[in-house]
Amino acid sequence: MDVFGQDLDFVYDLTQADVIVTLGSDLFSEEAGHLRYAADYQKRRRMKDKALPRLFSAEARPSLIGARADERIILRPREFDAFVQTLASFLEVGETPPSEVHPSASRMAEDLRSAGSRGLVVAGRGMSARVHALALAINAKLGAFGTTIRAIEPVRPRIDGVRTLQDLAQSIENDQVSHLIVLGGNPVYAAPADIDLAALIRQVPLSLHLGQHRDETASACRWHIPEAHPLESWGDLRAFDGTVGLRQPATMPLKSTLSAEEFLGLVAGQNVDGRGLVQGTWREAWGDEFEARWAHSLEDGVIEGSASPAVDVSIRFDWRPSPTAPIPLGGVDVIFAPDPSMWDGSYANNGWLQELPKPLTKQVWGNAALIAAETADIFGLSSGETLDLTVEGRVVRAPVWVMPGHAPGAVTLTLGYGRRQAGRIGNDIGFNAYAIRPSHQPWIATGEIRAASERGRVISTQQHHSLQGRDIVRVVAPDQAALSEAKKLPSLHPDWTYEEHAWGMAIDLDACIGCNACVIACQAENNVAVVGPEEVAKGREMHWLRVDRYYSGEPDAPRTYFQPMPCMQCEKAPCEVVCPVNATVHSSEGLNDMVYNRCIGTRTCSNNCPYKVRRFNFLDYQGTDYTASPDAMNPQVTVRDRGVMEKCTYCVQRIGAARADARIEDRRVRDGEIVTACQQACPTQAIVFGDINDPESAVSKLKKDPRNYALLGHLNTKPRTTYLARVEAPAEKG
Amino acid sequence: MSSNAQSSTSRVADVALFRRFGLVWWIALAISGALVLLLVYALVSVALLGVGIWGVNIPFVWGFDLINYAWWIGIANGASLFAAILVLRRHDLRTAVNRFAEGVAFFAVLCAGIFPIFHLGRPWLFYWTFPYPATFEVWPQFRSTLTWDFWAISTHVIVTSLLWYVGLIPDLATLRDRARHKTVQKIYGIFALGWRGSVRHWAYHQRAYRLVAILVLPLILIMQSTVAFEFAVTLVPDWHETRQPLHFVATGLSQGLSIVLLVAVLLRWGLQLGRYIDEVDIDLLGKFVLTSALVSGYLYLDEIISALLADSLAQEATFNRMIGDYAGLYWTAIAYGVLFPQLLWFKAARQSTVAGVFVGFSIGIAIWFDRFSIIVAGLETDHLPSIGRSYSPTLPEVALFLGSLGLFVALLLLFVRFLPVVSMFEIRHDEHLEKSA
Repeated sequence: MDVFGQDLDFVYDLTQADVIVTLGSDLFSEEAGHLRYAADYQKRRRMKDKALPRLFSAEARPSLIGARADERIILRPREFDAFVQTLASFLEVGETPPSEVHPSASRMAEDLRSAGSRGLVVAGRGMSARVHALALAINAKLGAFGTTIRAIEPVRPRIDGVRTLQDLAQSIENDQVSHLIVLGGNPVYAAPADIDLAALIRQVPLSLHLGQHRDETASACRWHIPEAHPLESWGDLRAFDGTVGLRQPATMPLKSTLSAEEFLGLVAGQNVDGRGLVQGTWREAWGDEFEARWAHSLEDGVIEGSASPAVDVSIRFDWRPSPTAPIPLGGVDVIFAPDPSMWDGSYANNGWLQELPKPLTKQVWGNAALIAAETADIFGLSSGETLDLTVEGRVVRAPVWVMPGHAPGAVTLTLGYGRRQAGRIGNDIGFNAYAIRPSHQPWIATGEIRAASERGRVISTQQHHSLQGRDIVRVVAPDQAALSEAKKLPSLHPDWTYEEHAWGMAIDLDACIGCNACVIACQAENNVAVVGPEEVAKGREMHWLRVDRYYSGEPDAPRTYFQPMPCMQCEKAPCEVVCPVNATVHSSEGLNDMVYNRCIGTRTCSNNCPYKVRRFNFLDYQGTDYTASPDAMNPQVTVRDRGVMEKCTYCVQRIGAARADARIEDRRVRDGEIVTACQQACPTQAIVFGDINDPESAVSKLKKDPRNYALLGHLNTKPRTTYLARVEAPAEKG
Repeated sequence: MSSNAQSSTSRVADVALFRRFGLVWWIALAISGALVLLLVYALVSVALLGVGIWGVNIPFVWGFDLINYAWWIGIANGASLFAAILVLRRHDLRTAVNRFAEGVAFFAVLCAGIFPIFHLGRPWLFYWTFPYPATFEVWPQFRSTLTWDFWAISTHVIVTSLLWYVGLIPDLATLRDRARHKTVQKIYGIFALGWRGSVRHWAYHQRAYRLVAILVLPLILIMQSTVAFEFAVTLVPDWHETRQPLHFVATGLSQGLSIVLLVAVLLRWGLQLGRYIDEVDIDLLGKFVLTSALVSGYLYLDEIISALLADSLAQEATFNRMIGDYAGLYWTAIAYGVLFPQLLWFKAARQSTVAGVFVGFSIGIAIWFDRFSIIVAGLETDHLPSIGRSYSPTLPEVALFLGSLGLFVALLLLFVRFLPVVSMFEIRHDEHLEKSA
C-alpha cells in the first residue's frame, strides 16, 4: 500500500472497537477472517461493562453486515470515492471535502472522532485503491493501529516475479510458455471475460491441471491429475492473521490422489510423502523443539502463538491521496460479488449449497441480477423477468430480482453460476457472470441494462418479507427492561412434569447475522435430503432449520432481521394432538419426538403447526440425482422414507449419545456437553442449548434475560425454543 | 299384494328386469368406465410414486385429495340426512325420492372413502387408525380429529349402506319373484334374504328401517361436524372458528339435496318415471333445494359477520379468501351456490328438467369451490408472515377427481340398470292408502 510504503495485510480486532465504519465490505461473510470478525463483534456487543458499539455500513449492495448495521448508508459504487473523501476531510486527512456532502458523513466522522483509537474504518475488496488508502489513513489518524487494527506482513508472501493472469495470457500469446501447471482452482471458468484462457492453454505444448474435479480447466489442459481433498491429506496453512494450522488426514485416502504439496514435492525431487514434507518444514523451523511440539500442535490443529506480529506503521510523510478518478457518466454500475453459496463457483456441484437459500434473497438453484426497485421501474422490470447486461461489448442475460436496499443505478451479479462442467448436478444452473467480467475492473465495472422479453425464473423459498406489524421479531432499545409479560393462558391439556432433564434452546436475534451456517450444519448432521430445483420451486424444500428474513421500514432502505426457525418443541404442541396414529409424541425430557416408522403421512400436523417447521417427504428423495452419497450421511440418524413427516429433533442423537456417556461414567450430563449441530456451527454463538431444569445452565440464564420471549406465545404453544430480542440503539436525531 | 298393485309398480320393476338399455346407457357406462380406469391409474400412481405428483407442498399440504373428500362426503351426508328425515316423518316425498337418494348417498360415501386412504403418505398403513392390539403396543391417538374421522367414515359407510339395503329388501324380493332367468332369480334371492312379505316381516322391516333412519340423524350431524373439526380444531387462522361444523353441515345438506334433485330430474326424463316421481315431488324437492341455498347464503353472510367480530388475523384470513389470490373460488361458490339456485323461486323452473339439472350441477360445483376455498385459500394466511407459497393442482389430481366422478356415475348407472330406482313397496303402500281412503 502506498500509504505506508510497504506491502501489508491488515487484521481487525472488533472486540476493541466502539465505532466501526465499513465501506462496501462485508466483514461478516466475505472478507478474510469473516468468522472471527462476526464472533468478535458479537463478543463486543455482549460486553456488559461497555456501551454497545456503533456500526455504520456504507454499501451499494445489501450484505450481512449491512443488515446488522446500526446505520446503513446506501451509495452507488461510483459515489464511494466522494463519500470517503468527505469522511477523510472531516477527520483532517486529505484536502477539502467535495461540494456535495452526504448527510451521514458528518455524523460518522463525529462518532469516529469521539471513538479515537477505538474507531475503525474498513474498505472492502471491491473498493478502489484510493478508497483503501484513505481508509487506512483515517485509521492511522485515529490512532487505531494497535487497538482495532494491526498491520502484519502479508500472509501470502509477495514473491518477486509473481505476475498476473493478464501477463500469462500475454506470454502464451508470445509463445513464451512451454509448460503450464495449474495447481487447483478453476481459472478457465473463473478467468475474466477478456482472457480466453481455454484457447490460450491449448496453445501451450504441455499443460497439466491438478484438481479435485474434472472441471473446465481440466478439460482444457492436456493432463489432469486428481488432487487429494484437504481432509484426506497432510499439509499446513496460514490463517488470515498468520496463524499456522497443521492439517492431517481425517480418513484413509479415498482414491489414488496427490495433494498439491505432494505434487510439488514430486516435481522438486523430494519425497512424495505428505507427512514427511510437513514434518520437514517444521523440523527446520523448530529445530530441537520439534519432538516436543509436533504431536501437541498436531492435536491442537494450530500452532500456538504463530499469529503474525504487528508491524509498526506510520503514514509516509510524502503520501497524499491520489486525485479522484473521473466518475463515469451514464450506464449502471455493475458489481461482481462472490456468491453466498457458490463463492467463486467451486461449489456448483454441491447440492447442499445449491439448495441453501441465500441469506438476503432466499434464492436457490440459481443466481439473479439484483437491482433496486427504482432501477427496475426505470427499465420496466420486475422480479422474475430477465434483463440483458452489457459490459464492454459482452452481453449476459440474467433473471431479475428486485432487492430492497440495493443502490439505484447499480446491479449486482453473483459469480459462480452458469458452469458447464461442474459435475452431476451443477451444470447449466444460473447465468455466468464471469462471461462479462473485465480483467481490469473485476469488482466494479460500468455497463448497460436492457430489458429482455424472456420470462426468467428465480426460485426463492421465502416470498413474503414484511413483518406486517406483527409481533414476530422483537426489537428493544439497549437496557430496555422486561418485555410485556405474557399472561398465563388456560389449557385443556395438563402440564407435563420433568424429573430429570428438560431440554430447551435460546436463540439470540441480536447475535444472528443470517449467515446460514446453522442450516447447512443441520442438513449435514441429520441427513436432510436435497430435493432439486423443481421441487423447491413447488415449495418442498426439506430444511429442518430455516432462517426467515424480514424487512421493515422503507422498502428502499429497510431494516433487515433474521430469525432462525428450528422446531419450537412446544410444551403444548399442537402437532401432537392431531396426529391420528401417535406418530408425534412428547418425550420424558420435553422434546417433541417424531416417530418416522409410525407416521402414515396425513400431514395434519403440518397444518396445526403455526411455525410451519415440519417437512414432508412428498416423493422418494433418497433415490434421485440430487441424493447425497451414503458416505455423506450421518449413520446415527435415520434416513426417512417417502410419505413420512420429519422435523428438527434438537439433535436427539447427540442428546442420546451424551446421556449414554454420562450413564457409563455414572454422572449427570454436564451443561455444554450436548451441542446441537446448529449451535456448533454458529459463528456468533447465537444458539444456546441446554437443560432448563438446571438453573445454572447457560440456556436457563438466557431464558431469564428480560429480552427473552416466545414466538407466537399468545397461541399458548409454550415453545421450548425462545428468542432473545434484537437490540437496537434508538435512532439518532439529525 | 293385489294384482292391481302389481301392475302399478311393474313399470319400475321392468326397468330393472326387462328393459333393454339403449345406446345412451351403454355409452355413458363406457365413458364412466373409462374414468374408473383413470381413477385406478391415478390411485396406483400416487401409491407408487408418492403424494408429490400432486401440487401439494408446505404449507399447502392438502389439495384436491381433501377437497374431493369433503365434497363427496357433503353429498353423502346431505342425501342421507334428507332420506332419513323423510323416512322418520313418513313424508310423501320419500316414496319418490328415497331409493335413489339413499343410493346416491351410498355411492358418494364410497367415492369419499377413497381419499382419506390415498391421500396418506403411506396409504398401505391406513389401518393403524383402527385400535387393534398391535404387537408394538401403540394405539391410535384418540384426541385426534382424524381418528374420529376414521370412525365417522366407517360408521357412515355402514349406516348408509344399511339404510339403503334395508329399504331395498322388499323390492329385491319382488324382483326375485318376477325374474325370468334362474341365475337372476338366485342373485336377487340371495340379497332378498328370504323375504316372504308376511306381516311379521313387514313389522320388523318398518322397525328396522326407522331404527336405521334414526341412527342416521345424529350420525350425519356428528360425521359432518367431524370433517369440519379436522379444520376447526387447528390453529390455522381461517379455519379456527366454531361455526365451521354448521357451515359444513348446512352446505353439505344443500349439496346433497341438489344432487338428489339432479338425479330425480334425470331419472324422470331418462326412464320416463313421471308417474312415480311426479310434478309435486319435483316441486317440493325444488323448494327444499332453494331453502337450503338460502340457508347457505345466510351462512356466508354469517362468515363475514364472524370475521368482523374476530381477532385481526382471523379477519385478515377470511377477507383474504374473499379478495386475495384465490378470490375467484369464493365468489364462484357464492354465485353458483346461492345466486343461481334462486331460479327455483319460479314454478316454471322448478318443473323444468333443464333448470333442475342446471341447479343440481350448480350447487355441486359451488360447494366444490367452497371446499377448495376453505382448504387451500384458508391456508394462505398464516401466523408467521414468512410462510407464503401458492398451490396449484396438477394433472394427476384432476385425474383423481374426474375418476371419482366416473366411479360415482358408473355406480349410479349400474344401480339404475339392476335395481329399482324408486321404492316399489312404498308406491304400493301409498296406492293402498289412497284406495282405502
